[in-house]
Amino acid sequence: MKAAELRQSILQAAVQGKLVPQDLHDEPASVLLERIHAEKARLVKEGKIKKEKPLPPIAEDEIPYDLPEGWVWCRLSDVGEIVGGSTPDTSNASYYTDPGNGIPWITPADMKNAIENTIYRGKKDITADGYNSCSTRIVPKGSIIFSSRAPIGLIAFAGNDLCTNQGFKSVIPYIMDLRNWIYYSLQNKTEDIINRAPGTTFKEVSGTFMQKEIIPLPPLAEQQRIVAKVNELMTLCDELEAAEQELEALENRFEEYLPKSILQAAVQGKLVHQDLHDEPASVLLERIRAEKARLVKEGKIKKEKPLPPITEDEIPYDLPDGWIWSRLGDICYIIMGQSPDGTSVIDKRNVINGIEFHQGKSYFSDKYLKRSTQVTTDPKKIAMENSVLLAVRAPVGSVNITTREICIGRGLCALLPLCKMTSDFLFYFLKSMEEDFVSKATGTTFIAITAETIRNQLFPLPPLAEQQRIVAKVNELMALCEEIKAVKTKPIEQRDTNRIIDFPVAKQEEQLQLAARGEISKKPSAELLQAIDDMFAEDE
Amino acid sequence: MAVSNTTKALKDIMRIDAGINGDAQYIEQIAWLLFLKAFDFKEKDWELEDDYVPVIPEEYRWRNWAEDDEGITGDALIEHVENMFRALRNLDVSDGDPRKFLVRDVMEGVNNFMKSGTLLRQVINKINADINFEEVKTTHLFNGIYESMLKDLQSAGKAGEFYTPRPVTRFVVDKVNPQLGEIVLDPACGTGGFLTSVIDRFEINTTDEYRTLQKTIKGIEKKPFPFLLCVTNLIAHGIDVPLIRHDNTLRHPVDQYRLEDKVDVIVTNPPFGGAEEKAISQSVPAELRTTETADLFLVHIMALLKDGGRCGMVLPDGFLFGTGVKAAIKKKLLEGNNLHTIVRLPKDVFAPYTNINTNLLFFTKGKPTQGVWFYRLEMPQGYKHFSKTRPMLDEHFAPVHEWWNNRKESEVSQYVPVEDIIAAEYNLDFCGFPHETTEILPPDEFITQYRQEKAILTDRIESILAKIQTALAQEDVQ
Repeated sequence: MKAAELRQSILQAAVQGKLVPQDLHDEPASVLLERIHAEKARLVKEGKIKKEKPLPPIAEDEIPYDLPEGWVWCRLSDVGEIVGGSTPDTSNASYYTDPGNGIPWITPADMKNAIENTIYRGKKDITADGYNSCSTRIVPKGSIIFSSRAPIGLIAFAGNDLCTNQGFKSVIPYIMDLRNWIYYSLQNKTEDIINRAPGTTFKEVSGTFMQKEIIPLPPLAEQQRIVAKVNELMTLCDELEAAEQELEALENRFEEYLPKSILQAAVQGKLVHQDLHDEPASVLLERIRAEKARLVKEGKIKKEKPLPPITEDEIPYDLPDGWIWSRLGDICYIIMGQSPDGTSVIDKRNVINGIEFHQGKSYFSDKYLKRSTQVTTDPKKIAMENSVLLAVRAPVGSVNITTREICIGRGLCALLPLCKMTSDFLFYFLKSMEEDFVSKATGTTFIAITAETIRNQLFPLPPLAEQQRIVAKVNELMALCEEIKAVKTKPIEQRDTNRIIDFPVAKQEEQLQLAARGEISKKPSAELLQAIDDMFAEDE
Repeated sequence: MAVSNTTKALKDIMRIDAGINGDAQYIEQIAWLLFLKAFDFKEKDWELEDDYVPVIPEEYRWRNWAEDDEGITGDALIEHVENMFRALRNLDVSDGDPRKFLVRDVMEGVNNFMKSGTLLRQVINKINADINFEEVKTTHLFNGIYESMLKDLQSAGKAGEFYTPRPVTRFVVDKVNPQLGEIVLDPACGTGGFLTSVIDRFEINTTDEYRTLQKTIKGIEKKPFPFLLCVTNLIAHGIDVPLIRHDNTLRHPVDQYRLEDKVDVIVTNPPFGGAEEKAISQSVPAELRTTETADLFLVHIMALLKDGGRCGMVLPDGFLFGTGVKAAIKKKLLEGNNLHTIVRLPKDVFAPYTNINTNLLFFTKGKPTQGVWFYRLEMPQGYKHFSKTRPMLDEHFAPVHEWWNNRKESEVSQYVPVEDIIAAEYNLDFCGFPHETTEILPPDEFITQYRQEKAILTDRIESILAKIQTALAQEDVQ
């Protein structure tokens, strides 16, 4: 998400004085700093704050960049008091009360409930007793709440007087007008603070650490101009972020649905052109029926009861010329799995005379069945080589192809296409039907698809030659879909950045443009989409 | 007899021929045969004039080589056809007769693919048996023939361009109501569905009316094949020399249209989805530049209409809710035209070519829009979706016909004042269909839709970035 990076970049420009022009008529920050010091001294004198140990002056090597004229560097302790928090004894119920009934008390976990950079209260309030029982301190409204551990860097304004647990080092500005500036300066240095924080597994910054942190201080008038500008820009960044998220969601939907869409086009005959010279599927269907009759006669397969004729109402879409609607029971030999006797199923390593056994879809991959670790010596139902396997018991609908003879249990059904039809086309068809099968599954404890449902399932039968062309094209397209997915994870240097130049880019903002557009250009590249488009065009 | 039987019969003969490899070739073959037959039919008319000199050389006139069932066949026929192509492609046009230009242009763009003269003879005989231009009614049959051929071409085809169902063209034309004498243009005319719907409305009785008709029906088509079909279609509808240009409307800069280019009426269904080279978008002003062809067409249409000119057109849903450039185009549309009505069509009207939701926009150029009436045309009772076998019919437009002249707000209709549209940043997505579960689109359309949505989002991101840059630049550091 580039919006986040853009926010960083805006803050960076803000604290370096590059966001708005300086005005030499502004009261210099050095004078402002004097005033803050005077205010601090007054508060000490009135006993409202404790006198702190003076900190060393800011050394040359602490300064990370040059400031514009009129600005000065200062330590956080120059501009505000750093206060921590504490937790009343959690075993004492009288210390805690429902939100709204006591003193708001914030933990880092509550920070996600901040509204527009402002936190009002946490999940619990603490009672006056609770407050007095520990060292937590009231932080007045407008102070900057900054978490100092687990994790470091959660930041918000206090929306009202509140206190915190020990996970914060909050800043109470000596002059409240400074608060927005302190907020953004701290936000800008969060990453730096985390990097320098002591601790390896559990990082935490102390009050002294925070007191010593340096921030740039612009003239007050300029602070106000910068803050107004930053606020304006941050709102735009929010819009950008929302648009980016929508784009991301769109990309994800695209990746999910493109393969489905390709399969749908494939089984509807829209993926490759029909060839007038192909043997029509009606002739193929006759041959399949003849072959089936022969197999029955030879006793190789069992005689099945005839399937009902296909009615107009059942037909979900129009088929191209040369195709014909059939039923799965027509065009393939269907074997419902049956589990072998449990004692016959053993771990592969111990067996000499056995056959690989699959109870369900545990060893399904994207397309071809992986090897199971189990074998059986007493197979009940055999799925022949090149059968398409369909998961028929909860969860239903997944499909795979087996490249070898296996025994199937009752979670699976094997469909063997007749007449040398490619099992790939049947595979892709069943894959396109997955959601349909789920909706057709019945049962209360286990949902399952019945043999009848499978046999009666309509199947769009293309000419044999076209099946092969479709399969070749689907394979190719599926590989391209995978590539689209891969684009996301590829590092940006390897992506085509040329198209960024397509946009009119004002020179001085080029950097910003690049940063902001990197995200946009990295998703499915124009080339890949073109490749897919071309594949559709190829046949015309 | 059913149209599909003729096309199927022709296809069955041709599939045996070694020279025919795909739908495109089969359709092209039939197209030029039909063209020659139609042209010969027209020549018979023209011969009634005393001084008529035939355009097509005697031996290549349809009546002389094709009409006789027992006529020339086999290799001799193939040789004859080859000679005919040569002769017609080199027709002497020095006398400037537009009819000769037409024949020459058409024949230059097509080929004879069939290798077997015997099969070609069978095809010709089938065409002669089934298509008779002398019976007026059969012109409808003839339309049907190549519309069903076009379906063949499209069902395997690409997104963008598709045949507009006759009920849709008839509805649009009925509402735009062109009068004889008004110049009617379809800048993306395809096979001429809108134009023939216009012609069908006119009652031509006098010679004057006939002459007027000849000069006022215009079309532009980019693709050679629909162009040829459109020419033949108009010839079949009584236009002697159809004023159809084989050209891309989007190629011409919008600011260079002259007075004589402007028209009274535009009825069209421009291609959606954008498959144009980048340079094409340069024809419109920078702030209206986009790759979506339908949007570009709209910009051109606004420029092509005379003041007071009327338009009825089909546009995809994306236009209604689009932002960025689409919003800029809508702003221009509303400011310079009275966009009085948007009819939201039920899904699958264009099935099986596309499932994208579409709309009919009606506007008159000249006065700014005060408000837009939206009407949502619901799927007729008993229909879940339209298909090739159950397409949309004329009577399905009945509810909107009824509403048109007596407009009231209702569940399916809404009047939206222009201020509300402007306040919604030119969103025209009113009175839409309730959201339905995601249907899986065909890949090409899915990619088109994805690109459109992505373009909309990218536009939005672009416009936010532009705002950020403006905010940054306002007080640029000196």
